[in-house]
Amino acid sequence: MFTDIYSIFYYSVLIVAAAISLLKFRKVEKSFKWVCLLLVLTLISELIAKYFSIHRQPNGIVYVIFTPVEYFMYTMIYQAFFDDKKWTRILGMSAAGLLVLEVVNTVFIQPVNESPTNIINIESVLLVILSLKLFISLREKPVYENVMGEGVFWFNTAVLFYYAFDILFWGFHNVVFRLPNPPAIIYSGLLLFNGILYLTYTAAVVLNANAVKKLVQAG
Amino acid sequence: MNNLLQINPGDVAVSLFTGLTVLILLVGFIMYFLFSYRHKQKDYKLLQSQKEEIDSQKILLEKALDELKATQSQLIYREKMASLGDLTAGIAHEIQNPLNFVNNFSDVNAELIEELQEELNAGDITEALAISNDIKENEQKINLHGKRADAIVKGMLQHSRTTTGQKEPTDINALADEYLKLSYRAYCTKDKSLNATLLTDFEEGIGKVNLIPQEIGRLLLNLLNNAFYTVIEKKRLNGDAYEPTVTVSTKKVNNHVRILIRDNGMGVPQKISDKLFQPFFTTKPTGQGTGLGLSLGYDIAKVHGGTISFNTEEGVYTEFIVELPL
Repeated sequence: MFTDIYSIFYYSVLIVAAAISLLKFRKVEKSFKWVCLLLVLTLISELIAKYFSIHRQPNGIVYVIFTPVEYFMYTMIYQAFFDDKKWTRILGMSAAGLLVLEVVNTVFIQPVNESPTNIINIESVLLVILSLKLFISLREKPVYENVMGEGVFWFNTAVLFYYAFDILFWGFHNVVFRLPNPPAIIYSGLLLFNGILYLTYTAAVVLNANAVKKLVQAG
Repeated sequence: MNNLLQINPGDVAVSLFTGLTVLILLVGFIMYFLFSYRHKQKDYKLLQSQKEEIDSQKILLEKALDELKATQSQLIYREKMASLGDLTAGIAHEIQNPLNFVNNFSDVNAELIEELQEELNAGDITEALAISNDIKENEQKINLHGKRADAIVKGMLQHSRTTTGQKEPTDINALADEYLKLSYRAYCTKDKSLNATLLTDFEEGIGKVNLIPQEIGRLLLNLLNNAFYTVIEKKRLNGDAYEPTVTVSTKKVNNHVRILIRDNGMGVPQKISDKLFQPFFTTKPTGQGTGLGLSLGYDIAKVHGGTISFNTEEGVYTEFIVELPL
């Protein structure tokens, strides 16, 4: 079922991330509650996708559904971080826009049993922009004494690195995909990279829970 | 690994180069962010401490302002009471007249009632009826003068009462005349030898002006008190050769009513003319003036959307001009 080390690492990380998310859900700030939900939802979607692939069925539909849902979760996370009416509107419009593009892409370009790489690329670009915007906001109002000890910093750094490379990966994927026997190492690398992303998210959740705890204790 | 060899080496090289470039850019960005964050944090902390200081100063200033407002209210009240004190002599004189009438007519009525009883005892009904008519007439006069005294007391109370700030249509000529008399009588009581000429020139047909009568009354009273004060001073210096004169006139000019109060007193020296409306500025000896009369008068005129100004020639005259919108 999970034969290679990369898959074991990836799914183990997801299970641990989801478990910690459920444990820390009540103890974190609003933005990180959405991160927790995102981690749990990611585990569920990946398990469903794995189920399809085990039964030799195309699992593209899982990603067709999950991609806009995942982006919606991110908009909720960033909305909580920005706490700004203008950006709430922009985020809402971008989520709606991505959903429309997803439908158009599925109907006319990439059928339902294919991974929606076009939409994943657009989503990645949007998330890189949101991440950069959050870094600018953090710099404008430097309220944290030690920003490297904050969950928001690690979450946002993970988003920036992961989704910037995600654009490259899916671009590279287009070349690899056309090969008669695609090299598995590319996908193994992606699993490793994904695992690191969710591990960083989990660390960010824990950091935030600890920060909230300290704040409560300080009164 | 063999599968990787299927890929065009050029594609791999471009991909690796792009990946490496992106990685360097991202790491550089994060380093820059952390560096600029720390730099900004110092400025932010400084700004926060300055903000806290400004906030605490603001609280102190607001407290000081509240105290100042309370003091100002007290000063206004004191000035009002001082002007009421100035009026007291005039008011007493005003009340004395109707009281004299009331006393005299009630004495006369007491005698007439005795006569009436005598005539009734004698059975002379015609004479008794004539006497009763006289009693009735006297009673009406007592009632008339009693009402006059009542009106004076009500006016005095209105002056001392805190104003509601409500404007009401007011006969400006009657108001100016009333305060001219009150002020003059008050000064007459203080200085029995004062025999000033009072001149009035009230333009008919001005109609009623929308103003707060107590406030404008206080303004006129302050100006008139100053006028009488200065003519008394001049008389004291020049003796009988000098004839004190105070003139009050009203005139309608475009959309304004102009009230002019002129005296032929000492005039205002050039060197103090620009301080006249300053609070607490007075030329009167200590204890005789609060120095707030003209300052408050200026505020009263301003509240009514009007102006107050003056012309003067040292040793010859001073005239204050109050202009109020119609």
